[in-house]
Amino acid sequence: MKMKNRKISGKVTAEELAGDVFAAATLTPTQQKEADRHLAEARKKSKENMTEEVRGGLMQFHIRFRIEEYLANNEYDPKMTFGYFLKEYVSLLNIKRKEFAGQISIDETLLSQLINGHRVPPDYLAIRLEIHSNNVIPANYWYKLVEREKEHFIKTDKEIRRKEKRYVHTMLRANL
Amino acid sequence: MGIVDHPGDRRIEVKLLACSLDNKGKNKIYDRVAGCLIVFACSLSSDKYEVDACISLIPKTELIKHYMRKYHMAYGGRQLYLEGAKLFGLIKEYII
Repeated sequence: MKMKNRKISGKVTAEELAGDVFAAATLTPTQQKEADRHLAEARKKSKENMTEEVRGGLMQFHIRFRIEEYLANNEYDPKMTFGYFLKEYVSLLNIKRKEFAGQISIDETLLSQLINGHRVPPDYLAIRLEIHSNNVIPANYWYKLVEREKEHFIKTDKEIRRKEKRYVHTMLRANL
Repeated sequence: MGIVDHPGDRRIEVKLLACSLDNKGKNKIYDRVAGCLIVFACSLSSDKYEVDACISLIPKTELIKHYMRKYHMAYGGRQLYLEGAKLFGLIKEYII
C-alpha cells in the first residue's frame, strides 16, 4: 500500500532512532478512525494471500504459546493434558490420525491411547514431536505437560497413600 | 512495554516500548531486546487470535523505514502491522 498520508508530527529522539525506545505517534480521533479503516483494508488483502503452510505454522505457534502460558501458571488444569494438546496438534494438521501416526512412526492405536490419556507417553515421543514441528514446540514442553499431570497425582492421590502405607513399617516421630 | 488489545480487530497494538538503561546505546549488555519485546506482543496475539494474530503500531514518519526494515512490517495506511507469513517469520527468527 502506498503511503499517501501527511507526515506524522512528533520529535524523534536519539533513543528512538537507535531502536531502543518506541513511543506511538499521537493521532486525533478522526485520524485514528481513518487509520484503523486503512489497516483493516490492508489486512483483508494480505489475509486473502495467506497460504496453508503459513496458516499451519501460525497454529503451531498458537499451540506453543498456549502450552507456555499454561506451564508458566503453576496451577494444575485437568483439561490441559498432554493428550489434549496432542489432539489439538493433530487436528491443526488437517490429516487423518493414521497418517500422522505414520509420519512419526508410531502405531495408530498408541496415538489414540495417548490422545485419550490411557497411556503415559514414552520419552522418545516428545523428541519426535519436536522434530515433526520443526522445533516450534520443543520436546521439553511436551515432557513438562506429562510432569505437571504426574506432579498433581503425586501431590493429591489419597488412594496410593493408603496402599503404600502398609509397606512403611516405621515412621519418624518428631520430638517436640 | 505498553500494549492495547483490540479484540474487535483481532490485533494487539504496541503503544510504547523501552529497553532498560543497561540495554540501550553502544554499550548495551543485551542486543535485540526491542525485537524480543515486539515478538512478545506477537506471541500474545498468536495465543489469543490464532491464525488472525496481528500486531500494529503507529510510528513517527522518520521511523517507518526502520520498523519496516528491521521487523519486516507492512504498510497499513498510517499504521504498520505484522501478520501472517511476516509475523510467523519474525517469531521464528527470535524464538527458534
